[in-house]
Amino acid sequence: MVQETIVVSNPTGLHTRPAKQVVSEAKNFECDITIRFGEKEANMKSLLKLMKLGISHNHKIDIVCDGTDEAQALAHMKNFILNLEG
Amino acid sequence: MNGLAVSGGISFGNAFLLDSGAQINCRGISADQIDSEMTRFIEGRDRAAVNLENLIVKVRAEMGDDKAEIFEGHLEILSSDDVEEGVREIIIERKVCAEKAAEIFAEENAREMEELEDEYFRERGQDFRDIGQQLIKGILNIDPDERKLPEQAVVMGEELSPSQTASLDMSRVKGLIVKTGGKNSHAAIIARSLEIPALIMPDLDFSEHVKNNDIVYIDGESGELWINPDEMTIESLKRKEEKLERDKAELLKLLDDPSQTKDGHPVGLYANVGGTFDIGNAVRYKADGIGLFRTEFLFMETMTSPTLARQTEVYQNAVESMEGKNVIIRLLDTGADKPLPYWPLPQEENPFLGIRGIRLLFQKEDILRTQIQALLQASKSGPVGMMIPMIGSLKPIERVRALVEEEKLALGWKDAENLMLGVMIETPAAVQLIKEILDIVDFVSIGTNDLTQYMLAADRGNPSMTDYYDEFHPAVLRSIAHVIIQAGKKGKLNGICGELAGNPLALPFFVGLGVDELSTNASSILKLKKILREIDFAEAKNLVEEILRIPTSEGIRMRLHRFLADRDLLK
Repeated sequence: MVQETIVVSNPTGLHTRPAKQVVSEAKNFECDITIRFGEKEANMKSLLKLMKLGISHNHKIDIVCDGTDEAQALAHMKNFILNLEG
Repeated sequence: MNGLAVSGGISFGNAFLLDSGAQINCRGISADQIDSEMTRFIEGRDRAAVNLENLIVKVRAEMGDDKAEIFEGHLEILSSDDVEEGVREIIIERKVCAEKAAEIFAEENAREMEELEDEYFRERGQDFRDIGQQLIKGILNIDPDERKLPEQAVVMGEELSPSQTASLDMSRVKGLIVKTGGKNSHAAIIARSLEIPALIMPDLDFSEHVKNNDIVYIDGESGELWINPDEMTIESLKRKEEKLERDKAELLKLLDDPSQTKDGHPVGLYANVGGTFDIGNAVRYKADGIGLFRTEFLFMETMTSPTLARQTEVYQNAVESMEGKNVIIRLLDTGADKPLPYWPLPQEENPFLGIRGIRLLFQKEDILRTQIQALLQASKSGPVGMMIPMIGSLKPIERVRALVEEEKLALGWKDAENLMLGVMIETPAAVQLIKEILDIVDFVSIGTNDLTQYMLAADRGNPSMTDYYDEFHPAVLRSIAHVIIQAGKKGKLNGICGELAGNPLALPFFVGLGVDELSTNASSILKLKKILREIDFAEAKNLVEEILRIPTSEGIRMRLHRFLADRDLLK
């Protein structure tokens, strides 16, 4: 299991459109990907659960990957979220 | 039947009644029905998914990737295991039918979203309700084609919201009938910009008088509406329509003549536009510039505020289409009376005297900055005027200027020579301060609708105020004169962009003041040009002297009427 903490920097956070893109990316990996935000956590491959975390601009989140391709998944998802626009 | 005509012309089409949502006749179920309800849900969900896929293709083609991605998000959620499990749980535990379970699931998730701190997310609750509606329609097998407009559609509804406008294929809309609103309501403005007739009919009972696909004729000149009329009525309407067409053809001959008085004094005839959809009209009628680009519609077409890329694209398109002519773009002008779906505002007792225009933008500086950035980018393609709405003092102007400087610095620009900063003159305070305002701006434009309502303390949306809300009131015309004359003295670009700018009766007065530009609906430009080219500038100047001494609106109207009649300029 690997994990890393990042700060969401796109202006509107993980609302519908960016969250949808995040989910599509996460689905390319075999491993379990979990996003932790404060007390709450959600499967990054579920848009519904991800949206209900309510992650906004400047929120600090942990990305946790667990499975065969966890290293690539972590590196990719971290980069992807940090480079979101809009 | 008769209504209030708010946009002219005659047209006909098939009635299209705006949807008010699917009805659920809830019923409880017994334990042995659980499996069959679950099957109904799965089948309904699959139908809903197919409908959504079709919608995505349509939205992508008509409205671009940004908006399509929102519906892709809906599809992702709608087809997920989370929804299937959630609905299954509700069917089993609460023993309700599939459509009721879908509604409960959507509503509970929407509420949960609405408890989040971030207001973007709070508003996303609406996404879940939309998904719920999609599911319910799928389960009840309601044909989604009801959202598809007939080739020639007359759209009818309680009112036409900006988000509904964004989701309709407006090229098929040939007429609009709404129950609520006035001359300056959203539906009326949209209709005039699209050059389709529109009526406001508070007494029309849709369920009783009209069905989807009925043949409907609208006369936007007389305010009359016919549903399934007889042959004779159709004949006489066609003759009237032909006459309107002939008049229009006559005006089109003026297309290439310059906008100037008989003795060669130029007056720019600019166009008001609401978005990419009516830039085409401005080009077609050869407007001398864009005097008012309302950006509200751009902000209303999506579920989130438009990105820098989207805004830049839209503004740039306008600037490029105008080929070097002035394009004046107003910063987002919204408030509690016209809220955005993703920007919930507290109820205000007096929204017109509340947080609106620039006052609101200061509360959301990131949105203001994005718009400034987009306008800076657009100014690379030609002259752009950034117009600040709702100005009553100097400080907000300085503050916007400082933000523009910061954004320029961030881009590494020394100058932005194509970007002008100006204000909308719409408060009595701005009129009083006009000399000082002119010292710190590049241009001013008078918004006569708001100026009239603030000057006369008369709500322009209130039907019982019609006797009090009068654009020809001497206090209004004297204010306009003061602003235009001072701007002229200081050599600053000045214009008028409210309803009054397009009123032929007011034209000789504005011409005599020496106004630089009048901004109206593109479709009125030629009508104004025809009169303008018959007016003598010196005579109009003398007329202004007289008008400014007349103490009543009635007297003023009469004098203006006589001026036009004497020169045979009244049609």
